[in-house]
Amino acid sequence: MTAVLTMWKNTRMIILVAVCAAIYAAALIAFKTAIPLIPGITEVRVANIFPMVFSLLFGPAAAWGTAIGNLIGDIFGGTLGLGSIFGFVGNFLLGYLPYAMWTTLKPLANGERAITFAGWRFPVLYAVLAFVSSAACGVVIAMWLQVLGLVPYQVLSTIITVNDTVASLIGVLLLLAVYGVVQKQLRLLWWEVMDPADIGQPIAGTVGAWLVVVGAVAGWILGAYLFTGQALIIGIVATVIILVGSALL
Amino acid sequence: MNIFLYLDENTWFHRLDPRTKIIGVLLLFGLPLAFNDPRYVGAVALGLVALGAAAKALPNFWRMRYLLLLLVLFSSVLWPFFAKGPTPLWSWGPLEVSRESLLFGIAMGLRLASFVAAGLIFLSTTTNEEFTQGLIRLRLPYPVAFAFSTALRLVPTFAGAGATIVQAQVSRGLDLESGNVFQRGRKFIPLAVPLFIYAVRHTNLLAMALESRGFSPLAQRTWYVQLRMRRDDYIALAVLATLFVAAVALRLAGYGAVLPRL
Amino acid sequence: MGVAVSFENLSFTYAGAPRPSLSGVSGQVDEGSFVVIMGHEGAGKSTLCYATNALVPRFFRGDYAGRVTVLGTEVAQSRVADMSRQVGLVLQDFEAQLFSTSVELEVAFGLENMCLPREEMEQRIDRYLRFVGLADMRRREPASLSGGQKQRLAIASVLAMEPRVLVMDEPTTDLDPAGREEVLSVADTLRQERRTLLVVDHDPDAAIEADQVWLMREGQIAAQGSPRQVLTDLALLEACGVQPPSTVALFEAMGWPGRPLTVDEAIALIQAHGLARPQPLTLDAAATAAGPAIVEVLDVDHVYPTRSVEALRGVSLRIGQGEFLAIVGQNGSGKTTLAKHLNGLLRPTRGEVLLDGRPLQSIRRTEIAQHVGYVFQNPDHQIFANTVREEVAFGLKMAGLDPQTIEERVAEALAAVGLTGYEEEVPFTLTKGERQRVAVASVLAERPRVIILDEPTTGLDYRHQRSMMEMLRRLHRQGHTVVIITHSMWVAAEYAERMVVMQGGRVLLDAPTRAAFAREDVLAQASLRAPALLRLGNWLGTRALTLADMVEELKAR
Repeated sequence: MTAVLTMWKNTRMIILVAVCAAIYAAALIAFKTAIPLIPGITEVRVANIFPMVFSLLFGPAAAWGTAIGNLIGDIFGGTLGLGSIFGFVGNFLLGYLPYAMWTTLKPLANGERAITFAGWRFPVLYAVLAFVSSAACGVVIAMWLQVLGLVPYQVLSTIITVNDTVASLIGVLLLLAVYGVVQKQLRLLWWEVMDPADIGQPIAGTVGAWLVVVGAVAGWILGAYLFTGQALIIGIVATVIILVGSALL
Repeated sequence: MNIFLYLDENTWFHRLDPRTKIIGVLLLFGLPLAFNDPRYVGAVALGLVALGAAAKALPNFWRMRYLLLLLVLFSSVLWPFFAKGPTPLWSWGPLEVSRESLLFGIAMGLRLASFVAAGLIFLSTTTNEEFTQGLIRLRLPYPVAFAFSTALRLVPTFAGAGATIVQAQVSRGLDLESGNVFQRGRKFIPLAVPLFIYAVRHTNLLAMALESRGFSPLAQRTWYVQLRMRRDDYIALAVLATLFVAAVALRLAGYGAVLPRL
Repeated sequence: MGVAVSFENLSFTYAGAPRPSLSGVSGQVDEGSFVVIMGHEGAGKSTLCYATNALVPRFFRGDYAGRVTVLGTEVAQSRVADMSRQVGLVLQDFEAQLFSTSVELEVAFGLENMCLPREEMEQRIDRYLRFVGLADMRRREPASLSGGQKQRLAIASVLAMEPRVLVMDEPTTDLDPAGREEVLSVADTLRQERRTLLVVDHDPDAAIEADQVWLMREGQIAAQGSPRQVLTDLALLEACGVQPPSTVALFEAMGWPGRPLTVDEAIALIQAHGLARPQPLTLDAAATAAGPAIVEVLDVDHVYPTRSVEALRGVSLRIGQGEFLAIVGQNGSGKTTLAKHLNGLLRPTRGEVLLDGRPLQSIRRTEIAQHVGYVFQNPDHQIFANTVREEVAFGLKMAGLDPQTIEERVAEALAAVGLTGYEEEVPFTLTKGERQRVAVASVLAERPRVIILDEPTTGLDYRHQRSMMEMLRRLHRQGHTVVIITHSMWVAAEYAERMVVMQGGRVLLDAPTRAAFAREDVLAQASLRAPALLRLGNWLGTRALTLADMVEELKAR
């Protein structure tokens, strides 16, 4: 959590925020009108192959970058509105959770920031985090749009979760292709760019990570399928759990 | 294509302080939110169209016409299945549509369209610089505002690079138009990888250029763009605040809702 | 006069790099003097620039030894932001150093960081935008400017901070000839004002007016001296990978007295010593008949949907089997638009393009790719795979060829570009020149008869430009038809058989190369200029296109 704030001291990290935001926004705009699922709210988001990759490479810069990129997508798409507020929060989580949980979701995680592609750990952890971060994003955004009365929770939480999970899974191909270049040529892996003193320690990493898992998965399944009548309440409770868990990371 | 929505006119709205516009658009968002009766939300929507005309923003409304239309239609069709009302119109198994839920759906569509309309008026009358400067004066920390405005500036650059990349790969035989979702997804890799590397290569150069011009994230600085709240700004804010309070009061008094609990 | 910048035995190795980028560099730049640094790619020129404003070692970390002082301040002890008041740095990539949403804000950025009051900022913005000739573009978005304008804006925004020393790292490398002229003329004014200037450039023309030229090689200073001392030492220039001034090379090869740096100087010497007599230039009138037409462009117009300006107006062009064609012109003259019509990437708004007599529109993409290959300007716009092999095989896989054939074709293409043995390398780790070759190989693998290359030499140093062009010459001799789009006049002169000059969307001139360069008036109309050797050749009346041929021709007289 600390790094999310201290990164603003570092020029390269600030630029990475802008670069991530611009790539994400450019891709969002390019495909915005391609296949709308709910006009003005969401579409088949090809651009979502990026956030998880950004996250594992650029850490906190990815969280802010994804959030700002989504906002710019709304601005250029003409869909800037109150919905954009939690669009910001949800997309922030999409860029925040993968890197923050990569080291804390024990026993799946082993605490290493650097990625080792060989072995069982990488594919399992990647797939789990792709799903959890997407569901967390889906729950938070769907809750808010239900509060605003724009789209039913059941519909939107499912669309976002499924769409972002699939896109993040495809994103693994991008990660495999660029990890080495970012590490060796560009030297931009976030924990190497930032001053180690600024990175800080999670408050209660493993607890936070599992809280996020519970909030995201239960919030989506219970709210969208099992207790649809109480969807709003479930969405709000799940959002609180996810946000508290995130703060502990 | 010009992806920016700003329209270079000189209306009363254009001349307002960006802080007024930011707070104003938030107040405007509140108006459709206060109601869920299509007649009330419709009145707000019409008011926004009039405002759009005064701000000479209608060309952008026209540009977004399909989106605006789709919002209303889609929402009218979708909502009745989820919102429950007391007067049934039609039912099929567990699905049930009531009079209230149908009206509610139309109102929600109009609400969404109103949001888009308010946002369009804002974007049509505010330059990127003013937007950024307004956010800074509303206490957004400078590094964040800087990242935001740099991203705005980079989007067209990256979109242009993206278009070239598509051409380069298509001319090597990449076929983007066939295959199922997963196959198509895989085909974005030859596009996403070069775009990613191209963009990220920018990072070191930009950071160098920035520091070479004296940038230091937390240091003191002065501003070239100066903002000043004028009499018109206070009038605009007062009018919008009054409208907002009036809307909330109406709703609390029981008007403007077909489904009072939602 | 005091010392502005002093390097004392400076060595630097980037963190993680296998070799030092600078080893033991010493030198002094006097206040008010103009120093040009030249050398091959990787010689350490940029690193030396970064060492003047603390980017090395503060931004780029690594092993730093020795001392750099700017106006008495020790650079390594200072922060980059503080050094920026003393040293202004302009970078090669004009795209990556602009980050504001309008021209005036771009200039204001550095001033805001200096905490100047608004009135002062306004005066400086005015003064320096006028200085670089952008005063009437204050409200424009930097993204909408041409390359030359962007680079001038970068210079203005650095100058506005009124640094005592201005350092420019290859400010003209990525520009077209007109943009280059614009930037050089700004630099010239600065020189006349006796500003302290440290400029990296690859073109000897830019160095002629310098007080000092520094030649760099492998991280060391190979020579320091006046332009006349350094630029006339052909062996040394060659060893440092710098293109020697062709007039000097000619005089040396002819055994003539004097080492002229410019064409005017050369003519004066020839007249003074009676070295050769100018003759009228006689050329064979008829263009050498090329083979049967492969691609024919018939009276094509093209209008981009988003811009109302016509990018092409009534263009006709015939490309015959076995030709080596150069398309030249300024940015925006329509040359890339024309080239993209040759393989159907763009479709004519009016008119028709034929491939072997068939309308291009009726032919499938995959089939066109087997006849006409297109190499984009920036190889990084297409490289995505993790190995060179996979990258080159991409198009073949898309076409559904069997693995055996793919393997053979990849080997063949890599051999053609001289990259055999690079199959398992990661393309991103290669040098720009090598990446360019990978891009060419990936197009060659489809065995197209015609290969089109957009700016194949831009961004490469002289050696890499040479080897890239020699490779294209080999391909041409093997029977490929080659079309290049280029800004580089000497490349067109030495390698192309025919030249098409574009201007304002029209074909201004379409002639055999030597004849085209004889038309200096027409070239001037397109803001182009024949290379020095051919300007001298036009005066002497020689038919040769290369130095070797010219020497032979003059000796035979």
